This record gives sequence, C-alpha cells and structure tokens, in this order.
Amino acid sequence: MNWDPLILTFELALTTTLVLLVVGIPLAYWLSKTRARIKPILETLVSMPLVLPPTVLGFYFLLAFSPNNAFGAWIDEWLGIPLVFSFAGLVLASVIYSLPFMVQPIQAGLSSLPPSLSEAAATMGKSASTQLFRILLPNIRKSLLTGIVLSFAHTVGEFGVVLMIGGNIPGKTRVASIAIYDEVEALNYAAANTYSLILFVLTFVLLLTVYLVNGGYLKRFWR
Amino acid sequence: MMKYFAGIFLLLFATIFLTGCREGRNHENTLRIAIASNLQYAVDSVVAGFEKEHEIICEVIPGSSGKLFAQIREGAPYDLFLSADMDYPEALFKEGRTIQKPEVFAYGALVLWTGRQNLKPSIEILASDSVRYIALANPRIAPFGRAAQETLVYYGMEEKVRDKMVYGESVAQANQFIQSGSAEVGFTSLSIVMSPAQRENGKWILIDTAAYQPLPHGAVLLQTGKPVKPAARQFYEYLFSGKGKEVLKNFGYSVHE
Amino acid sequence: MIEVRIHKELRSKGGDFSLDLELEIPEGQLITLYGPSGSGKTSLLRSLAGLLTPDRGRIARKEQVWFDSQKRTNLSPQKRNVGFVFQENALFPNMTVLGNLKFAQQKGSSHDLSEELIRDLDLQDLRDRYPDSLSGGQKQRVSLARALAQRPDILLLDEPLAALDAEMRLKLQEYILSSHRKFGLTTLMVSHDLAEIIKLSDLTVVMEKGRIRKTGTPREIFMERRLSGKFQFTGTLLELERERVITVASVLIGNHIIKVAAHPSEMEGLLPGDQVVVASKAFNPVIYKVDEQQ
Repeated sequence: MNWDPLILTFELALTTTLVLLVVGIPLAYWLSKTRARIKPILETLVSMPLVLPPTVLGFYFLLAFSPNNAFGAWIDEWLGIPLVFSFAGLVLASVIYSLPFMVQPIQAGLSSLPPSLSEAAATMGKSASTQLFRILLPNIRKSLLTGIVLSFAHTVGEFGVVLMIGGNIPGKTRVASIAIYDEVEALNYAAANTYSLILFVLTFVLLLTVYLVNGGYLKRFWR
Repeated sequence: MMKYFAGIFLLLFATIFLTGCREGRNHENTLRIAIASNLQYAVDSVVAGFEKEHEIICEVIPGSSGKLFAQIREGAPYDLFLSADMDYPEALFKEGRTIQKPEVFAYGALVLWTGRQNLKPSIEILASDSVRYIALANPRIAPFGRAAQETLVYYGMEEKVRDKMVYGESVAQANQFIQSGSAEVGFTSLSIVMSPAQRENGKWILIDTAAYQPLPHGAVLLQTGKPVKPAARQFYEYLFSGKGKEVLKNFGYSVHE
Repeated sequence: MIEVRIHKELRSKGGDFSLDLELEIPEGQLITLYGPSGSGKTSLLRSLAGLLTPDRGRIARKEQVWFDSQKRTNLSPQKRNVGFVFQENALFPNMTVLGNLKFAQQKGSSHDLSEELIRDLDLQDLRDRYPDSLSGGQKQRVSLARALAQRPDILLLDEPLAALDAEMRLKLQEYILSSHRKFGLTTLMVSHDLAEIIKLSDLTVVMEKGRIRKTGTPREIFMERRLSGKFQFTGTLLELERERVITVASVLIGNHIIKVAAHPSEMEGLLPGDQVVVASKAFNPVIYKVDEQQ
C-alpha cells in the first residue's frame, strides 16, 4: 500500500485551505460591504468554478501556466516556481477552483450580521481590521467552519484540474483521486478500492462534523 | 396535489421518450469504435473514406488502450476495439469478449517531439538543463508510454531524467503537454506528428526501433450481446484493405503488404 | 456648540425624501429629537456619528470640522469620539457584558471605567453573561454602559427605550440622566414618549419630513395651552369610563395610575394611548420626607 497519494492529497487540501483563508476572508469581507459596480462581475467570477467543468479550468490553467505563456514565464522567472507539473501549480489551481466554497459561506455569514455591529465598533474608534477579526469573524464561526471544511473537502475531491496540469508525478502531483483513476485503468481494483474507501470515510466524517456542529448537536463543545 | 403528480409523470414520459430517441440512433448503421488515442488522426481519415463508401455512421471513442480495455471488460457498448498493442485485445479474446482472434493491422513508431523553436530534439538533450519536463503517456496503461520508457532505459537515461517525467493519461494528453509548451519535449506517436493538423507544429525525430519493443496495433470485433453488425465486419475488412492500409501508411504506420 | 447644516437625499421604504437640516446643538445639554417615523431623526444621529455621509453641508464641533462637502472633509466615525446606542442594541454576541465594555474602553484609560460602569448601572449580576441571555431592558442597559465606556464627548441614543415596558423605561431614564450628568455629556436622544421627553430633556427638536419644525424647551413646545396651574404631570391615557354625568380617565404617570374625573365635554377627542397633561389649577401641596420605616 502506497500512502504517498493520500498524504499528498491532504498536504494539497491543507495548503489550499490555508491560502484560501488568507485570500477568501478579505475578499468575502470586501464583497459583503462594497457597493462598487464591479461587485456582480467579481461575484460571478468567484462562482464560476461551481458550474464550469473542471476540465475548462484545467485547460486554461495548462495554457496560462505554461512557460510559453507570459504569465507562466513571469512566475517561473521571478519566483523560480514552475506552475505546471508542480505542487505550487496545483495549489494555485485548487485555490481558484475551491474559491467559491470559501468565499460564499463567509460572505453570506458577514452579510447576515446586522450592520450596527460594525458601526458600533467604528464609533468606538476601532479600525476595519479590528472590526473584522474581533467582532465579525467571531460571530460567523459556523460560516467559517463551513467554508474551511467545504474548501478542504472539495480540494480532496479535485480531479479534472489536477489531471490536466498535474502530470501524474508520484509524490509531487499524483494525488489520491488521480491514483484511483490510474489503479482502475490498470485494473488494480484492490488498490483503487482502498484509496476510495479512505476518501469516502474521511469526507463523510468531515461533512458530518459540519452538519453536527452547525445543526447544534454539539452545542456543549461549541459556543 | 394531482397536478403535481401529473407534472412528474409528464416529465418522466418526456425523459423516457427523449432517451429512447437517443438510444434509437444506435441502429444497425451506427458503429462505435474504441481506439487508442495515438490512432485518432489516422482512424478519422480511415473513417472518412469508409463513410463515403457506405451508409454507415462511425462514432470514434479515443482513450488510452488500458482505459478502453477496462471499459470493455465492464461492458462498454463498443463494436470494435483498435488497440495500440496486442496484449489488451488478446486478453479480451481469452475472456471470450471478442468475435474472433485479434489481428495486427499496423505497427506504430515512436518519436521525440518538441514544440519549442529553440530546441533540437535528441536523446542527449533530455538530460540537459534546457529540458525541465519530458512528457509521455502513462506506461502502466498506454503502450506508447511503455515504449518511451523502454527507450530511456535502452539509452541509459532513465536515472538521469527520472525527475523530469510527467505522465499524461494517454498519448493524447502527452501531446497536450508538449503542444501547450508546458513540457519542453515528449514522446508520442509518429502518426501524430505526420497528421495534417500537427505537421507544421514543432520538430521531431524518429526513435530507433531497436530501442523499444515493436508496437503492433491489434483490431478486434467485440461481443455486444447481440448478433455482430454487418457494418462492423465491413469496417474491419476496410481497415485491412488496400485503401485502409494506404491511409495508415500516410500517417507513418507500417503495415503488412 | 455643534453646528449642523446638512442636505441628503434619502431613499426609504416609505418613499424618497430629502433631509434638510440646520441646527445648533449646545454642549452639555440633553436634547431630544421628536417626530413621526421617517422624519429623519435617525439620519441626523447617523450623520453626526459619521455613519451616514450627507450630500452637501457642514458639521463642525467647536474648532473641529467633522464634515464639509466643499472642502471634501469627512472625519471617519473612529475619530469623532461619539457614543452611539442603537435601537437594536448592537451588543457583540461573542463577548460577555464585561467584554463588551472593555472592548469599547479606550486603551490606556487609567482607572477601570468598565468596572465603575458595571457598578453605576447595576450590572454586577450580568457581568459574565452573554448578550443572548439578557432581556431587552438588560441589553439596553449594557448598551448604554458600553457607549459610556468609550468616554464619548457626545452620546447619541436612537430610541433606546422604544421596546421596553414602563417600569424598565423609568429605570433606564434614570440611568441616562445620571450618566449624562456624571460624565458631563452632550446627549442627543430620539424619543416618542412625551413624558420621557419632558422629564429628561433640556431642549427638544421637533422634526417632520426631513426638516426641523420647532426647537425649544419641552414645556414651550408641548404645553402651548399655557395652563395657569402650578402643578402638572404628563402621562398616558389608559382608558375612559363614561358614567352618567362625568367621565373618569385613568392616566398612567410614571408607574402610578391616576384617575381624573371631568365633564364629558372636556374629554372629547381623547383616545386611550394619547399623551396627556394632568394639571391641577389650585391646590395646596404638603411636602414631607418619606419615612423609611413605611
């Protein structure tokens, strides 16, 4: 039993979720507050990965990340990180691919809070970031948990995008979903079954946690 | 409430009716041909010639030979299977999933291909710094991937380029990596770089046939649970006919004359 | 002195209207804003706090310009040092009562103001509770304490007592008045309750459709009939009982119900729920200290 694909999958999901927290919270905060005209356009873009086939994203990532392309070449040259066939590339692609799963719950959570909470904090002289971290986020813990778990689970389940730009390199881009596909094609059903079962159980537990916590079944542990 | 159920029934009938129509297309004159992805351009050409002569519609399903093999084993409704090797068709034959014993209709050839203007493809260059990624089809399921790996072993390059290899799920995806420039070079089929669509793109060299096991391509008529379609036999014969062989030769395949 | 001269086009559920205000607010006084809903009282408070940006005009306190549309000055709410008590209390659900107060308290305040306010406003029993577990009156008391914890120069109260029962109102009125005095605040409060206005405020501003109708002491405004009596109360008319020759009105004054009998003609046009003045024209009051034994 080769554990590498599973370990890699969780590394990818964890890194992606952390990056998404850093990127998604300010984006969701801005979207929940702004009345800018480009807001609907940005909201649409954020939601696109929900409906686009992953292969469309994968295809464009492959083109964009290629060193033949200005963007890919620039990243490659200035940061020294190639984006195709690399873990960094998978992280970037996954961040975009799972963006709606982080941004939408947080944005909805923030919008559901009465504006007077921020306003009260503002009159107390508190800056926007203090408002966000001391008042707003602590009051949307359920939305945060939903965003984190969904992003993580969605990244674990990612297949099409990784297939397009990963290159199936063991230990680098060969994540569990690809390994399963591979083992099935190689008629190695036992291995495919093991990977699949682990993913099945894990994602079940993750999602169950969200429903238990947000449904108030674990109130004693979650205030 | 009644209205609601009536609506549901209407929807159900509509669904059955529509899917029925779709299935209806699969009559005697439609063929489903599963092909190894390196054959795509060549078979498209063969199909075009065949369809001109017969009132038959061919649906071509490309994939890696291994994937198609697995699908056929699980009952995929294909009439013919054109594999990039003999092992998969032989295995199907042994399992009784074919009409007859598979036959070789062509031999493939391996090339090293680059989309980069400033690169001159060669075996040596694979180890150099100017090549960061080498694309090939997954050797576990694609015969051309296997041949590419044999080539690297033959030239004693395997260790040197181990970290550079990126695997497409089929030759088609390896092509994608090369064409998009994501991988500087890659191994693919001669038929790809000979195709009108790709002839102008990039540079390639033929790999010495001594470096890898031959790539016999096997064709076989599949058991579908129904009597074999006459159209399937017609296509099979066309493939082995002079016209079929002519097309295959144009794409760089060698055939039994 | 706070000078306000603002114009703002407002869109509300009841229709669009424009806010056109010119007002001078004397410092150190308790001012009430009175008027029907949709008359712009809340918008005025929000403009003062910097939560609403007027289209045109100027707001200045002493030497400091808070807003000037011509000079494109707009001081952020953070820099105005205004305490705001919201109608819906706006307590932070993730913090205890004490947490809410401490959050509001400015950094580096020398003594512990939060603890002092907890004592002043009788919040000792509630200090470690979360807002969700408090009653409406308790929430507003905490909300008031929190606004005071930031040591504001100006205290703005947007109908803080609207949803409370009579007893709770009276208690909170006391807290507002005593805090106003203790901290030497300039206080602006929106209220619909005449008794409350007359009891608390030094000055009343009557607003209607985005404009100021009248400004004056509550007595000048609400007791235009200039009763000759020397003793009067404002209260809420609870019910009218018609008897053969007279009508008896029950009036709630503070938390006492007082019955007043009069000729039916004098009671014409009155309906239960009306704010009324009960005055006595000639009487000789006696005054004595309440015996604590009693």
